[in-house]
Amino acid sequence: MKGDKILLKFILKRLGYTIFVLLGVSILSFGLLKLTPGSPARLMLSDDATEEQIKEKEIEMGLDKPLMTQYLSYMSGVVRGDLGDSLFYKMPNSKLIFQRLPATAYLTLVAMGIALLIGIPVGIIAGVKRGTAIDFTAMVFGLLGQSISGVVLGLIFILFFAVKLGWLPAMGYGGFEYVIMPATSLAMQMAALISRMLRSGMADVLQEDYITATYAKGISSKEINLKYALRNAILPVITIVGLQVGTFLGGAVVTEQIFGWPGIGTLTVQAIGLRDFPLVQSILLVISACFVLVNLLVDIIYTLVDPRMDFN
Amino acid sequence: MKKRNWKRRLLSLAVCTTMVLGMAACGGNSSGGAGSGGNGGNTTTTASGGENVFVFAGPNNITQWDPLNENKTNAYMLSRLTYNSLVNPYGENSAIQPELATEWSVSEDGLEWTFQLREGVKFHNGEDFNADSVAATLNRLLDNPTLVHAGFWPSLAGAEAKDTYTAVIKLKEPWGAILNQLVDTPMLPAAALAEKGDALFEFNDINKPIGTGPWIADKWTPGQDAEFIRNEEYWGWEDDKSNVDRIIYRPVIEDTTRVSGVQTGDLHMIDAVPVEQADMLETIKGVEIEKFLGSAIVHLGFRTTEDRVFKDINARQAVNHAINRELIVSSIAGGGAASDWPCPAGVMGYDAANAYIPEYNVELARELLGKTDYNGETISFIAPTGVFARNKEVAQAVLAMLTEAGFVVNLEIMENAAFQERRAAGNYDLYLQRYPFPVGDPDSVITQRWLNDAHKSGYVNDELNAMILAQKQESDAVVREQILKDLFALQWSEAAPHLALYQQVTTIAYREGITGLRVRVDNVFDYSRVSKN
Repeated sequence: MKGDKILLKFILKRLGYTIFVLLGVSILSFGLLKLTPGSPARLMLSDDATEEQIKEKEIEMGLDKPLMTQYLSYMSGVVRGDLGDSLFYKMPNSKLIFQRLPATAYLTLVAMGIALLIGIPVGIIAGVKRGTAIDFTAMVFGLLGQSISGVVLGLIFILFFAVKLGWLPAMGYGGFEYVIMPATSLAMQMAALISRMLRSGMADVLQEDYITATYAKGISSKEINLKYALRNAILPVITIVGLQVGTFLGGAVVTEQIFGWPGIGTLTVQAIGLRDFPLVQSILLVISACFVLVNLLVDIIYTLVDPRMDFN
Repeated sequence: MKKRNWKRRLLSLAVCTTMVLGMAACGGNSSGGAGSGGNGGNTTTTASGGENVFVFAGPNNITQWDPLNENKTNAYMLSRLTYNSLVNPYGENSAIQPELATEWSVSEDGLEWTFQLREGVKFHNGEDFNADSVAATLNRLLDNPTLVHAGFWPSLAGAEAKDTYTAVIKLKEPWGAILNQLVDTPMLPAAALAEKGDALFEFNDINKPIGTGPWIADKWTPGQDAEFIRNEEYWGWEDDKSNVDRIIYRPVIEDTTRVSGVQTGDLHMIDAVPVEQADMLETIKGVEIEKFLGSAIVHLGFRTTEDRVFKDINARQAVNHAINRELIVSSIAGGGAASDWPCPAGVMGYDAANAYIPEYNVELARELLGKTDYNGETISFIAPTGVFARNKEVAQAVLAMLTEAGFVVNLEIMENAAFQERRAAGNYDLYLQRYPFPVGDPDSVITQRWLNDAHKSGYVNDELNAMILAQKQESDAVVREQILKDLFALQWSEAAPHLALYQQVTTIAYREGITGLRVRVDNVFDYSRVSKN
């Protein structure tokens, strides 16, 4: 009973912090965008537009008003659930963002899944068999994974699997055959990181007294590795996963661009290049909200895994 | 103890699941195809029922569909699919020829252009094309001065329907280049425009762009495929009728992906092939390459106000002779042609008899620089990125060449948005850019960039300005051409406000069996007659 109440209080407190985080993000993004040189009106008109035309366009876009007014009118929309309209697409930002967010979320989840599927077993084996040839191989893989840029990996995948072998399509959005290359190129660095962290975590935990005691009780190695050691070693990995998902959500921009993946990353970069202020601000708000929620989720999962943790 | 623990854990799990489902649901709330994986536009290149589908890709992302508010090349290309204009430039030697207008004449004073219109043409929504359409389209420009195209019609006074198939366009002053501008002014449906206003250009399930063109707008997801189906009722199909059922434009920003796409066959034609990949693609079986010299010129711009080095013509000529144009074209820009005139061949005003490439001569450059007051002050040289192929490398080559001639130069390469701000503020000595000559006519470029000095060069030459005004108002093409030739000859010797460096080349790549691409002198590609075998 008491535990449930504590959980609820925790969630509400975190949601409260979220409001402050989002407020901070909105002010920062607005400020930074306005400080950067470049006018959307000038970019929208042709290269030869006169100063008068540009001024008129700016008035039409509401950019001639004082900064405070622009910020407040944008925010007053946000609190009512209206994220404003894109200057360039001439449609509601929420429509653009939520049209693209699922693609990035899908890519992120698959990438995370692959990273865990590869990273965890490799990390466990390397940690358990520390010092052996298996460990060495695993760590070489780890080093390679962390050193090769996801971009280069992505391009290599396309050239090899799509162009040379013709097994997979070079670009596009869809099921397994479309997502496997971008997700894997995104996942490799994470997989390498997870395996390295898990390996040292396992190696450390396996040396602890309570593990020796468990051996003494007659429990099998396999059970010890998976049920006892892993539970403890995986804790830092969970935290990292939470943070990294946030980064992936932020767009894995280059991966999306390379594979023509219609996600939020490409939308953001283009919007910034065009100085589409309302769109950029709305994207940043949505992504920040996602990031905070994901981390909240991670913290809750953490407590599921580690009963020693509570919400205080 | 244990019991409480379990309950808490179950509750936590429930909360997590709800959050995940919540996020997925809010994502799934989207309209359009992006949420449902694997369906529609951009995943399959052959749609259901054995349709003949042609997919072409370019680097521009289309953000809106109002053809009078567009300034990107790929968007112009797409407007050729759904719309027609009064005239087109597909005549002999790129001459203007009839499209929706069958004949035309201009009044004595040059202020009224009368067009006889083609009869029996219908818009995709069934509306008739007639003089009302012409009037509605042009008056829209007058009524909405913030439209991009309104800026291209500064002398427009109005348009009216004299009778059903006769339209009159009225000007405030004579304008020799009006026909060229009309090539890029698609005709809009008057009734639909009156009824829907700007919503006519939305391109979603409810509203789609409506024109008289050979292709009908079908569907579009922002940032992804735009699909068009063949208009069987199109008035203009001759023996060039396309055998393609569906045309898809796919924005693919990453160069390598575009190139890979044409190799795998995911894409049937791509433009803006990067220089390095063009040679590689030529060796691939099943892929063809074609290079087109376009009317776009890469040039330097000088700031020539009182306090600046380049106020002195000797300094400008020093730059002129310090640049090795041939080297840039052959080794750095990946192709093209060294400029021998301020405009390239094919643009009105090009004078083959008198054109010459300024001599590359570093000694001469140093000598000329010596005649100025230049004392080693740092020259501010700005260049944008992402505007044209190899822009960074060309800027760096120019930097090296100027340094060799004795200039001290600080090169700043910056994002296009920032570059535009700097240039507009006149905060530079030198900049690198390019200009296209839309439809092969120089009027808009020389009026806006030389006469009106849109980019703050500070250069004022009364003789040049007088000639620019004269050619603008000259309705007789032969007379106008001579004025332009003289004008360019003067500008070439003055080397201000711009100094043409080279003419750009555009490379496209396409799968074997693709035919029917129409290419304009300004390298706007017209895909409306493409056939795929």
